[in-house]
Amino acid sequence: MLLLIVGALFAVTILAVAAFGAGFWIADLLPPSFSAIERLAFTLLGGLGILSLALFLIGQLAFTRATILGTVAVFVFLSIRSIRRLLLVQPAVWKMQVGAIPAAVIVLVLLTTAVAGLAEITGHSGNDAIAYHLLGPKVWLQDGMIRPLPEVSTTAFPATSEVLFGALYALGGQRAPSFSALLTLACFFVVAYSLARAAGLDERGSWWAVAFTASMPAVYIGAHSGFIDVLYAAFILAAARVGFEAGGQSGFILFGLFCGLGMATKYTGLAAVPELVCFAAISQYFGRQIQKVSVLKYAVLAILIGAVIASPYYIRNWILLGCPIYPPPPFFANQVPVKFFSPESLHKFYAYLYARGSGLGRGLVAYFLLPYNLTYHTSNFNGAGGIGLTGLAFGPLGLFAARSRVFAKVLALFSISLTTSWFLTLQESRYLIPAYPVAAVFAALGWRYVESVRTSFTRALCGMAIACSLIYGLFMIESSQWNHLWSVFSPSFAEKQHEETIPYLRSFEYLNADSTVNRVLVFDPLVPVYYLDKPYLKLFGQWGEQVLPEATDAAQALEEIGALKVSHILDVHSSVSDFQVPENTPGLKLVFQAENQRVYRVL
Amino acid sequence: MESRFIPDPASTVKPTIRTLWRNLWPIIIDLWVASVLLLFIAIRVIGSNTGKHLLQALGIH
Repeated sequence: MLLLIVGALFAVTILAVAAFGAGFWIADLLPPSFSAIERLAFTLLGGLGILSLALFLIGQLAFTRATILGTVAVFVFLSIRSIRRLLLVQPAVWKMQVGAIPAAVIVLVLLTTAVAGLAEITGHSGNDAIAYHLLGPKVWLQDGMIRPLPEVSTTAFPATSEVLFGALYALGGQRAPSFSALLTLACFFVVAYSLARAAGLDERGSWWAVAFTASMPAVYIGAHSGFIDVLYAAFILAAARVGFEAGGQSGFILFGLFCGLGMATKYTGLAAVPELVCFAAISQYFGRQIQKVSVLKYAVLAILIGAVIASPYYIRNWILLGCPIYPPPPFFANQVPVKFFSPESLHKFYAYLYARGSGLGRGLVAYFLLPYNLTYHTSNFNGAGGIGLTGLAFGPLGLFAARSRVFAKVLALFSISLTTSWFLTLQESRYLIPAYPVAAVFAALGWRYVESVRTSFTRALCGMAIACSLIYGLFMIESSQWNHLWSVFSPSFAEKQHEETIPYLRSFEYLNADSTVNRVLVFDPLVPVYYLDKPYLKLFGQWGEQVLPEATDAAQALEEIGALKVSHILDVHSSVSDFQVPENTPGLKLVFQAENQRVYRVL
Repeated sequence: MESRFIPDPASTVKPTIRTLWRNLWPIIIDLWVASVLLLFIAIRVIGSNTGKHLLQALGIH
């Protein structure tokens, strides 16, 4: 366990230093209004994105421990000058004015993330981290190359986070990817702080906005255990912060960079970036009185930079899979033939997503009830735990209080626009994480405004609302992490978790331990091959992906078993299928069996 | 001459509405925050599974 912890600490530290080297030029392009901590976080965030992009491009040819180490070493070398400059800064620059309560909330959440991040990530294939966020990097390292897995179409998604997970695996072992949540969450908090400062809050008020954000379980759910939504939200909000206040060409270069990194992290970035560019242009036009031609020129520059940053993922998909966006969107499903997916399977896939993301309906009434439902019924959007009550209690007052500030108004409009597009497409709470810190910023603004009323009853009422929101949110976050925290301190509990939450564990143990296993054939789409350390061939994916066009079912595959070049078969009885290998099949020998699982050796 | 003693409606009504609004505004804010807080306690705390179990344990159904 100690080795795993040291490995994770080492990997995340080295990656942070390398990110600092990759983003060393970002701090020079930031406006003078940015504080030292904001400069540090934006440099790290942009650097992480650039480092990931470099690894992705190199990984098309070779994604091995050697190439990862080499790339990281180059960026660590580049960071020397920036780190020296950082160390020479006066210590007074780092002093922060932050109240005891918000500081305690932020530290508690970060500490929980750090400790829980050292626990083993377990679960079934319904967990996105196990199904693809962590599976992809593990297989890429095994194969020595970054390629979408044919049976897991979601590994063709933009993969800024996943590439970093791969590097963390290579540098620090199995626990490093989940431990890296500490780094991304800390950057995200500083971006939220930066937004609050730009919206008109003082330093103390801005840290309160961060505390409101930190105590939102619906935000936290996208931050840990291999989830990538918080990193995506950090890129989008960093773009908003830089773009809505950009002072000339350098600001728009950074704006384009963060827009591109958003699109290179999640497909939802493709919808968010046009909105970002639109509102950045509006902000420039009304806030800085810049001529229309200049605004247009800057917007085009940002779009071009963003497109260049994100394009490798989309071009790769186009070349390898037949469509830049893979799986192709519903309206392309019948028009664009793609590999491994039939139009029927695609329609089923989107029907599932649409049903899951229907939340509480799509009518006008449901739209206007969103603030209420997002506060009280977040579980309907798969965002159990909610966003606390400060957004609803103080947010509207914050909008009123900040009505004279252009940045705040544009930020509010951008958030409303994001929420509207989310409402019209997939109402999955995690996809709305970029809007939640904005609600927290306006909550802090509203609270400050309410305090100006200055009746003791009002102040007490506000205190109660904030206390209730923070305590409830922290309780939900801590209780969700309890198993992870406990398993770090108790090896017996960790072992119990390992046994209870990994499906078909005994078969994986058998296959991983047997040196004669060269390649395993897996039939059932729900088998979480993340736990298999050997090469494998999985014929059918969870969403209807079909790896071999000629093998439409297990029986056909068994007829051609010799051509598949597999040494073993893992056959299971799951919720979607029975055992698929008939007993006493010639050419196969049953070598291991346990409850609902059988392993055959191919003779 | 008499008209000089007739009060101007605009000059009297405006301050009255403003004063009324100034007094009402804090009350509206209090009501808003209190209702959000009470709804939160009712729905997210008492209405949650944990809350229901606690109430049952206390014999309140």
